[in-house]
Amino acid sequence: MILLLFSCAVLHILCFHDREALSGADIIAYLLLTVMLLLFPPLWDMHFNQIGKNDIAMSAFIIAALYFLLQCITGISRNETLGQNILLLGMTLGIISGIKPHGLLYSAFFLGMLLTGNLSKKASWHSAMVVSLCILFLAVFWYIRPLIMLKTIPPSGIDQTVIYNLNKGLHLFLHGRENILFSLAMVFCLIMGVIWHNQDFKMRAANYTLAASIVIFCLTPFSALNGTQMQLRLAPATLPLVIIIAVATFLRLIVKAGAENKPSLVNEPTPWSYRRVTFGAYVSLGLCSVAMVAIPWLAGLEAKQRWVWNLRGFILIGFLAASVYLYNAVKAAKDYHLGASRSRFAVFAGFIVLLTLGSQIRSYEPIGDLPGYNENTSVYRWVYQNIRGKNLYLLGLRPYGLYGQEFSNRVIYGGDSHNTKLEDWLSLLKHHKVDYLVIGRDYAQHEGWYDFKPFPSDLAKIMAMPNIFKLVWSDHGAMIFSIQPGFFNCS
Amino acid sequence: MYILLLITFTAIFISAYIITKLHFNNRLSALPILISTMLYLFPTIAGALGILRPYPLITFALVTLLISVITLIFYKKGLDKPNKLKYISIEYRARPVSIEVILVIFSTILSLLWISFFVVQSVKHKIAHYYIPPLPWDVVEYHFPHLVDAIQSGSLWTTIWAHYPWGVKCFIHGGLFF
Repeated sequence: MILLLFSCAVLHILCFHDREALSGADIIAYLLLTVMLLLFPPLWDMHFNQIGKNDIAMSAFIIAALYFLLQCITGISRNETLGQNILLLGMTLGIISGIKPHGLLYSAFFLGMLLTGNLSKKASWHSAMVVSLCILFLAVFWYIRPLIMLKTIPPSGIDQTVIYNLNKGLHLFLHGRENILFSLAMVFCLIMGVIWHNQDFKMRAANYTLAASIVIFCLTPFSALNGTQMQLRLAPATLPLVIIIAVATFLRLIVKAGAENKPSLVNEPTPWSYRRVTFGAYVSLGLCSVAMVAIPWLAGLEAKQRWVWNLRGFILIGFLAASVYLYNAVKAAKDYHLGASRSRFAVFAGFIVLLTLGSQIRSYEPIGDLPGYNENTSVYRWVYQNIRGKNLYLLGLRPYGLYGQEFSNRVIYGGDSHNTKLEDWLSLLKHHKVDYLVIGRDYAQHEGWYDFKPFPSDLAKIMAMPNIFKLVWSDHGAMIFSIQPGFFNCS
Repeated sequence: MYILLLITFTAIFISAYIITKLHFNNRLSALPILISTMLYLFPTIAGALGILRPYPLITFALVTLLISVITLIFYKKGLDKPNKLKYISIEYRARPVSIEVILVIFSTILSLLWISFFVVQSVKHKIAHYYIPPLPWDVVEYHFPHLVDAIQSGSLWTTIWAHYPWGVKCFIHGGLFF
């Protein structure tokens, strides 16, 4: 809800803030934006599939931060509201920094934008200090905690960033859907590069945020984990920003080109800039609609790697060609006048929605399952029915299903089981006074299936001590040992 | 516990509303941020102090409400002049019903119908086939276990996931602390 609310608010500033009342076009615009946000496959995934809920929160609060930043730097804020917006911006950035470490990078970016806005120099530094204090107050605990407990401060793992792994070449790749989105984001950045001297700072601020997201994506650790796959969710603002900028770019045509509007409301500096935006909008939304249709089909082809690679190449080449075309068209279209009516806009918008709808229905597949929660192993069911109020030490599997009725069990999760050593567990078992030892087989998760690894080799040592570790349950995927009291007495 | 949860959320909401009404002109955008900040901050402070239990959280919420109400009484005169939204008449307005409105609304309804179909089918599918609802791997591996660990221990200092910020848990799953 926060994401939708602030997305619409950003759209309002980008397109309609000159007019202080809602019109039918505004409502249609917000409706269109909401539908696109809800139906865009990566955002759909954020809610129901592969992307974590913290990424949704990051997206929502980054868009909120952009909204407050726009309020501060575009002169919408009067003197009495400027302080309010500064405070809200600080609170938003504090929450962002408390959600994920790379929220700090976003905070630094927004602070930089605040300082480069059109505020007076004195007010800027004062505002930046207030924002910094808010960030410090709201987020400092999450960075002091690891410093005290583990003697480290996040983020760590700089060797797992895209920047650090550039030498791995083709091993750095995105999945089909994210690949398209990333390409689209790059196109938007390119468009803004073409119309660089556009004096409308609002659109530039939105595009700067998008560009910053891409940079942060390349700087964030774990983006290139094992050099196999990058996850665009680590630049969470990219997802809604692409949609917001696409819709805003298009709507600005209607708002400013319509004969009903007063010329004074057109705040583009020159007609020449307007025509550039016109071309950019058409090409961007064309690409957006193509991407929306292509994304589900691409995702369905992930099992056929060779096809995916070829399609990826074609799509990327298409985007680059479209970008070059855009650049040339903008340069050559000096005297070319484009018109856009609301009817055309509505037909085009409806067409996009219907295309998206059709492609989603065609390619929809139920969400995948986790091993252990159905036919693979019934260890969770057995624990749920037979163990209550005990301490469990878990290797392999996942802790979620072992808490028992009313979450009465305490689960100490030791991570993966494969290749772990008995000596590593023993001290932990004693320290936590564990009642049961649960050992499951690790697995490699693939699209729709799981490749189980063998039990750890030190399991044989456990099995050789039945007087201490009593086997109470087992199947092909997991074993449960009851730890006898003698274990805690022996040295 | 449900009553405590309801009281806490109500206190937070009313506090945020009062603060917004008193100090912020743009209430629509300030209210969700203030509510989010309180939902984020209260569990974080309680967890840092090792008192992550329902009663400390409800105490924080009620103290905030008390301070808000006192502030409201103190500044009551300031509210006599409410900031009304100024609607400026404009020449450009969409027609009440036009072909483009019908097109977009029709498409939107179609889209939302499909979503509702998906939700219903999905729920039916899960209930029929799974003993424990399937969740994404990261949720079952560390998001949810971290939360359960914090609830069971009443602290944010004892978890094994200490190397990472978990601020989002504090306000997204705030209700689970009850």
